[in-house]
Amino acid sequence: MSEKIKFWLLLGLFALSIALLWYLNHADQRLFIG
Amino acid sequence: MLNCMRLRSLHYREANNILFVAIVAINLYIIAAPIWPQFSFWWQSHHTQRQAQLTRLIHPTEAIAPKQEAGQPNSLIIPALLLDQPTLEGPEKDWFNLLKQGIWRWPASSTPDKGGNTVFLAHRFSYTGPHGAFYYLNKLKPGIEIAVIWSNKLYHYKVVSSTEVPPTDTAIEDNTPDAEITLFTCTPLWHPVNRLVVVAKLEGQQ
Repeated sequence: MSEKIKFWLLLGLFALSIALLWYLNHADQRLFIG
Repeated sequence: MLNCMRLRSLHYREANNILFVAIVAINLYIIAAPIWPQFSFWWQSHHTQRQAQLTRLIHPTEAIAPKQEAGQPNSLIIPALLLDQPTLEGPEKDWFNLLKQGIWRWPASSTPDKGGNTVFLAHRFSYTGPHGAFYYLNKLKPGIEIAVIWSNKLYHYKVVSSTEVPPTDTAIEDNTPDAEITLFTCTPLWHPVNRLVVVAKLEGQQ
């Protein structure tokens, strides 16, 4: 796989990880409300 | 031309390495954060004197009586849970941010110096702020000691009950003739549908 394709795949994964972290930080009221 | 392509490939490789490390770090945090309070509690229980320190803190003897210094923050101390955290004050409209930061006194409830029912609530688990001040609230059983530092005075309470109620049961926040504190959070831990309510009666003050 070329480095360029790997880069775009990793960038997508990075964006997904950030989105998941953001969601967990802001939506934990619904997920784990205390 | 060939050199230019090689250089670009090198740049992509460097960027890929950085992205890979960042992805691993973020996801490790997401996975480890919920387990962290358990590990922290186990570590502090087995390798530190935290519980003994907190017990001494709420039972100051004459010889080593720590002076209740003016300006000391109001706080909740539960040696059995290795918990010593300041309690927060704020209006109901700010509940989301206050709960993110730690233990919040329900503004409509009483305060320890006035008697009646003082209600404290906190998250069971949260990715932000202290990782769930009441993570282990389910460990509180009747007879366990709780202390509250309020306006530079120490109030001692003893747990009398630990129950589960539906979120619609707001009677837990009602005032009571006896001086007591009500601690509540959500339960069960990973699928919170009810409220875990711990009530402790005043035993004395210093």
